Amino acid sequence: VRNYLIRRLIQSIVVILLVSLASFTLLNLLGDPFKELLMNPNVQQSTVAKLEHIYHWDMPFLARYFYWLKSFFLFQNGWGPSTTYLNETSLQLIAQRIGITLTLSSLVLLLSLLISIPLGIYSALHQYSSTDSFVTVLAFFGMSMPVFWTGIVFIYLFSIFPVIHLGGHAILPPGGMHSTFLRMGQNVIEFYKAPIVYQILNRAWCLVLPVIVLTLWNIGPWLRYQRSSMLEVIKQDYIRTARAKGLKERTIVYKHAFKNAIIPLITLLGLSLPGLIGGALITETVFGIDGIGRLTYNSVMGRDLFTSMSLIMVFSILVVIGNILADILYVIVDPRIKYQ
Amino acid sequence: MKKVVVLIVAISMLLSLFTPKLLSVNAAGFKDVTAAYWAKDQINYLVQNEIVAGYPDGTFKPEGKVTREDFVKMIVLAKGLKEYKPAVPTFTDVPTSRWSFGFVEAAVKAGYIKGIGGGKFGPGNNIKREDLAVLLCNVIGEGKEANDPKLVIATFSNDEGAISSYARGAVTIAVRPETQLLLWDKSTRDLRPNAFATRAECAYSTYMVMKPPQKGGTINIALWNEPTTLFYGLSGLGPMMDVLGGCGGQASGLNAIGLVGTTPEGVVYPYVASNIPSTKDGTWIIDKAKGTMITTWHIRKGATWSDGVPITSHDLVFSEKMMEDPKVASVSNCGSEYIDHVEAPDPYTFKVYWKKLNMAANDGAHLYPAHILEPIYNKDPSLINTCDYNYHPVYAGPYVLETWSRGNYLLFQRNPNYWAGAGLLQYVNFKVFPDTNTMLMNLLGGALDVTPLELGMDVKEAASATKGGLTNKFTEYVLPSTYFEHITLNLTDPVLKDKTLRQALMYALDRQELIKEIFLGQRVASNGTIPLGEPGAAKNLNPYSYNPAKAKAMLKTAGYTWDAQGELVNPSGTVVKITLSAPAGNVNRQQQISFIGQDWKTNLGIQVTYRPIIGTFTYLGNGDFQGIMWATFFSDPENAANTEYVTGNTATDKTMPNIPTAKNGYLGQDFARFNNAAFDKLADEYNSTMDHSARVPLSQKMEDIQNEELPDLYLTWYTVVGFVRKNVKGTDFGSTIGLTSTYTWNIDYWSLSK
Repeated sequence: VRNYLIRRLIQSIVVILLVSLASFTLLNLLGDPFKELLMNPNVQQSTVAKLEHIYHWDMPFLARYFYWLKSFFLFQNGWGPSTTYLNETSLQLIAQRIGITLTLSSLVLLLSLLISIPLGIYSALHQYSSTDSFVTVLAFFGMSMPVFWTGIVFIYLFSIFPVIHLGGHAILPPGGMHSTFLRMGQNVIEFYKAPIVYQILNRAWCLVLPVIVLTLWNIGPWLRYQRSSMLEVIKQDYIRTARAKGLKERTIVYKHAFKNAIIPLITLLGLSLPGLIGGALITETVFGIDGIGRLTYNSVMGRDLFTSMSLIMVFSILVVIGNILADILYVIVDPRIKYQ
Repeated sequence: MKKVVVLIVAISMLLSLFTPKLLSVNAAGFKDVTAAYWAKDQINYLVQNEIVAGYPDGTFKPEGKVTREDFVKMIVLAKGLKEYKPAVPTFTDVPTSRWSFGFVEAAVKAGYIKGIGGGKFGPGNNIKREDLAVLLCNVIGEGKEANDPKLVIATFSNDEGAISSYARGAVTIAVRPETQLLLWDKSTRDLRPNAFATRAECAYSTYMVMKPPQKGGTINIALWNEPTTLFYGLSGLGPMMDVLGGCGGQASGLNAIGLVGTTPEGVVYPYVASNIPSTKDGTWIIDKAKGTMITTWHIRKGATWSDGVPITSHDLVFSEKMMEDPKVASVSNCGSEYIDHVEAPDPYTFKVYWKKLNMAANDGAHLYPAHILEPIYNKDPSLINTCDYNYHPVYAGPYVLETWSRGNYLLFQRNPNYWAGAGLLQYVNFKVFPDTNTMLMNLLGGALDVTPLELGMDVKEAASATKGGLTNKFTEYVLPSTYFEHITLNLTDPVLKDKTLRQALMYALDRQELIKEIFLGQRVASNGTIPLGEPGAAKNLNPYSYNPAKAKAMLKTAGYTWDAQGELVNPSGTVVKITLSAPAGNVNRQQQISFIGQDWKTNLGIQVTYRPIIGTFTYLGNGDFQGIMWATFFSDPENAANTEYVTGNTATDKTMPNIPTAKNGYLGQDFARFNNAAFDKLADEYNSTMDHSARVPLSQKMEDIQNEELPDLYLTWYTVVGFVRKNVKGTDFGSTIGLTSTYTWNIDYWSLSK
């Protein structure tokens, strides 16, 4: 087991180094992020030269690469300055946003699993029943509706319609990370002056719509995986044997079938790890949540080299770890598979 | 049936009772008070309330003068006071027999007036604007405050020195957001204190006494992007300007915050400073022979930072040192490279000694709180780049940052230590909305009052919003911006170096049709770089109206021919083909290029190829292009032509070539490689001319050359579309967005009406 892990780790490091070199080269092809400032006629050449020097951009390519690599692995200089947010480091930017993204994505993952696994099993056990058809339609509907559309529709239904057509208050907030003012009884209080419980509740309240929208979109794949894997398992010989032994249907489903049907999902779970951090760009944009997804988009579009590089590295490390984790989990849940 | 008839008769009789009244209300529509007249609403209101009346010939004579007794009558009526007739008159020149006796005495009794000395009132004299302010301050109960020696004199006008000493306090109060009794001249930012008040001005002021602006409430303003810092000098771009422009206390161009303010018309006025250096009063001394200058600024006594600490000239001295430090990542510039040294002879005087002439010497100076930043700077100058001041700035403006919820909103609150009359709103909340649809949803749902008046919402999105019924509750603003779309041509290209071809390309392009097709008719064609309406903009630019026949004829005369395939061949025998580059994924520019390509193909037989690129600047810099479509702006229209068309960078250092080459590390900004001796000469002259009005014709001449030589093919001015909720009062966006000030420049005057 140890040899296997060491081998995998060495492979992973090589992969990560290659990824870093490739992406650093590619991002460098986009040009000098500081020179870009010259497109603004008010920015002076001397200013750009000064910024390049401060941020070591006057060095040759390979020197820049190693300087950056060193800072990344040793957590130096906060992974390099952000060129869009000149006074913050990439690490700071990522650290600020990881909380909200993790909260959102883990809530969505948890909810999707809680809904899709029982539904998947149910529809597998009642294949071609009307419930199965309904669930299937629901899954495909959720999968095929783009998030930016469902997002806007939900905002309209829950936040706009009640205000303009019913003359009342919004049922759910139309996004944002939290409200600016909170209503506490008769008083209206600024968010940061309210008791912490209210603050947490308000943050959760603002997450309701994005979580619903993302969960709707996420349920589909999980449900389909669970359904097909269950269908495959209940047709196996050992299930027939169990039935022949006269075991209760409950025992057959949960003790024999479910444990085997869950294996493919565990692999997928490991692979979904980077997605947890990666955030949901569109949902974050529609609901005005300042998470990792938006940071990734903004830093790539704004040619923010250090931040883009840091994000790419974090993602690739997570992909590698996710893969290793999936492999390990696979061995744990499936005794037939051995490390090699 | 009988009941119905009775009812109808009763109603019509009732209505007829009101008819004469209704008619008299309509009669307020005077011949000489047009619907667009600035004080029309105020005049109508006073006429309706029978405080003023028009003349029998149906005019109001709004520009006519008002005597002191006339004005006293107006104010006594407006305040609902009764005439008072004591046995002994207070003033010798207002005897009991005079028609205004009862009104004047009522005003004396209420404490509004004290006379002009010597027991006289001067009833028949015309009332001066500054006296109007003194009188009205007494009326609104601010008379004591106006004479308080602790009051910070700040009228934010360019003729503050002309105000009589007894009226300074009153005028200070009269221009404040909560009173707004006096208005500035838009074109000069003067208050004209010694001019006689007109009938319209008196009506306006009286109205403001009766209906003072509403106070309180929260206004929600959308931002496309969050600022990256609130440290002005470390970014100076984009959303931060909107946030700080008004709230932090007057951002002026990219140069400075606080010392001076700038109106949307581009007029600079003193803000924390009490003067704008001028050659007329000796605060700007120019030694042309030596090429040196001295400017002197005075700071208002009593002006404080939002934490209550007084602003002194030491702040200015320290700020200059800090922003010039090579370790500080400053991007804003106050002409540091021209400055020899600065000094503070006393806490309220700041002197700048210039080693070179700088026409922008009176545009402001760096101003940051030394009491906060100096200890950090002294530890290590590079700490300034990341210090907490970036997120919790201290400024001198009417609102202070209360909370910055990162990625979410920036909440500003009325500055409790503001030294010049508090802003009208309780809170100003800037909310971040990266998605247009979400922004419009929030607008509809009431969570937003103002969309950003800057580039972002395109005309198509705005059109659909207008169709969606947004205009019932919102005013839609469609204004030209300072951004212009253009194709920078590479003049070292063997084909494009010919001026005739460049001009023919303009004539062969139907820009009106392009605007109609791609921008729904909402843009304006541009023929130069200086924003429309700016004095420095040339008056008679060639509009290059669509004329394919002329384009063809020009080319023929210049020796161009067409080959068997109908393709254009230039005099040296090369088939003319043009590659236009634009950022990959920019659909709008792709559409424009395809439109342009079609016109040039049909009209001139030129094959146009679209090349998607990533990183516009890399290509502009290294010259690997024939034409690149991009947009830029000149935030300071005065030096519009300074950076992009001169061969030597006159703005900074003449030894530094401005045409990008490998030798200068592609750092130049003359992307078109435009090399024109006449233009360079004008630019030099422009930069060494300190007198603003003398620069105007030079600027116009430079634009004429651009228009004739076409280093860039000018296409369109961008359009800014914004929505403002109708109950938001006091906004003033000017006629071109982003010209010299941000749209929030006067946010202390914004209010929410009920």
